[in-house]
Amino acid sequence: MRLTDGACAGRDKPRYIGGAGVYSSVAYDWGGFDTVGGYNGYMDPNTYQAGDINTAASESCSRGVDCAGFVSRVWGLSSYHNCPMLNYPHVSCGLYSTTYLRQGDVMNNPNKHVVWFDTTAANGIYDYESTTDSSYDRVVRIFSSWSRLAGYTPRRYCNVCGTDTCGISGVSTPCATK
Amino acid sequence: MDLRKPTGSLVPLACLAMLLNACQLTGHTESSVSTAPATFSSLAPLPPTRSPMPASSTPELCPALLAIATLVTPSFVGTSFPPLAAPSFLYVNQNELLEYNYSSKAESTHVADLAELGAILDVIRLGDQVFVLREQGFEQVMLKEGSSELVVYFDPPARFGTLMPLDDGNVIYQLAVDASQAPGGTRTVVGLFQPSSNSARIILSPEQNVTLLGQTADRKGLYLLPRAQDRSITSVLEMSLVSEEITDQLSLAGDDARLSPDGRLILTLSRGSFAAYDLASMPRRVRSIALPEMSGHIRELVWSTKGYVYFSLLAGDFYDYDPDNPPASLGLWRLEYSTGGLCQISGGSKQERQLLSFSPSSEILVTGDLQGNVQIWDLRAEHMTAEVEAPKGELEAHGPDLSGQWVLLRDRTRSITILVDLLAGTDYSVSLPVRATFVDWSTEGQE
Repeated sequence: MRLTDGACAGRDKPRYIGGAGVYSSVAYDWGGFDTVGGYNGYMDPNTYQAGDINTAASESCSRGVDCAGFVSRVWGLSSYHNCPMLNYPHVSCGLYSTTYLRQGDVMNNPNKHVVWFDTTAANGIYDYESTTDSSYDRVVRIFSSWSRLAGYTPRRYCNVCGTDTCGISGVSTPCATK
Repeated sequence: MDLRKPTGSLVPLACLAMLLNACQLTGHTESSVSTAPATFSSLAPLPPTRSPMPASSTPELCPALLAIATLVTPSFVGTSFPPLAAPSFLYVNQNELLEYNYSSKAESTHVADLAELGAILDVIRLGDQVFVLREQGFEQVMLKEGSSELVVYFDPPARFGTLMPLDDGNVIYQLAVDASQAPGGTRTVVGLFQPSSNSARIILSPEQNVTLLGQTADRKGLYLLPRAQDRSITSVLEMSLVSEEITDQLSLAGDDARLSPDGRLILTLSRGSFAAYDLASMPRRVRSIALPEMSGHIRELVWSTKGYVYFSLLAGDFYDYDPDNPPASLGLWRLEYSTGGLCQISGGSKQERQLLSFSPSSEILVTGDLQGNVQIWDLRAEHMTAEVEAPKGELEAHGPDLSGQWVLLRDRTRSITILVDLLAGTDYSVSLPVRATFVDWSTEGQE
């Protein structure tokens, strides 16, 4: 941990933040599950700290989203779902392969990380993610090669846009019946 | 260190808002998620143990708790000098180790100079030595000589890290170091410092982010917790201090994990439940224990020497924590981890109650809330012995000292520090810099 980060002991500042100022996007905050509005609200009064890349503990004084918090919010889940929970059968269904990926699906590795699929690209995909990889330390849209995504599986939110779109072709593991 | 500049485009807030609103989910209610079944590699699961008291019924009170002792209720005055009996304490401020001393008048005295090595990551005291872990190095301070020595210089510097004393007097240091190609952007360095030979060396350097959980029961190994980019835990690594290799990987599940001081049990914390992993059993067993309030959560817990775990149960979800609307307290609770039995030490309140500090030797627990209500609990008798009216705000506590008489309370945001005499019911203002780091009470053997 870090004991001397002002009034937010235990928090480690994202590497792109040099000091007080205006920064694009939402900061990576390990264990974070803030909405955009909530995050902006926490930043405005200058009371709380933007992000935390320290994985020793979660602090309430740091705000933002981590990878699973980001996907939980984008999928409209009512509570934080960590990477293993995003694979629960009432939350998402498995796809046969990455060729069935559609915008809004995810590539999930329950032991590591989750990214939100945007579009396909040569030798990989473009995705949105909250990540500390390559010192991004915030929500970014980046290219991910297939080699980076080795060990990740394609998943689809069970109730995307109000219907069971997992029922369409490409689903290897159906959603659980509620 | 290659801190590669981001090449991808940043997500503007408006774009993120669009994403958040992209799916108009109507009529969908996310059902509550139960904890995933936790497993060891060779698991013989015990049936889940429900709390003895459903949330809707009257909670079972712990037997010894019904009589509340006469309370000492000092209020914050913070004006006069403390008596000579007040304990002094060590702290680090910038590049100096100091002692706050009451022997003549309340003032700080110089103990030792420290090198300029960046932010303090962790600091511990072992007997007459203090170890300071900083971004750029690891220092050893000899209190009797008033001297310090650089043990290891870190290049590249550490981003965060911790120190862990071993039973044999050696010290483990764990560092997270920037590594742009490593998953999560950091790799881990685990080092061993042996004060007897004044030598330090790296004993493990995995290309992943792991944190120290504690020592194995035989004290010949360490448990390490791999950390992903979300807050879940899926495994624990066992490392031998003899071969200096990873010797086992145990599968488990939860949001966080704690190891008992004797190294025999891991408790994982999840939404609405505990799981207790018996590391001494073979095959290893796991017991699921439902929290008395399924929608509640635990931020911290303490291990008693009597086989109990104490925790403050808070309302709502850990991840929905809103510091502007902190959760209500659902009481102070005790878990007997050999049986999974739960009982309640105290009732709840509208104010969030956090565990602030615990003294294992005297079994004194300090709890507090944001309104400045601080309670001192004698866990041997399981009752509250004092209530302290402290300044409002997020407090940190140090102590009690070995005598059980003194506690130091700090509110860093407002530069307030008070020393509380629990017996006399008085408190004293202490002038301490905001960025000062408390190390330990000065008297050897005190906590």
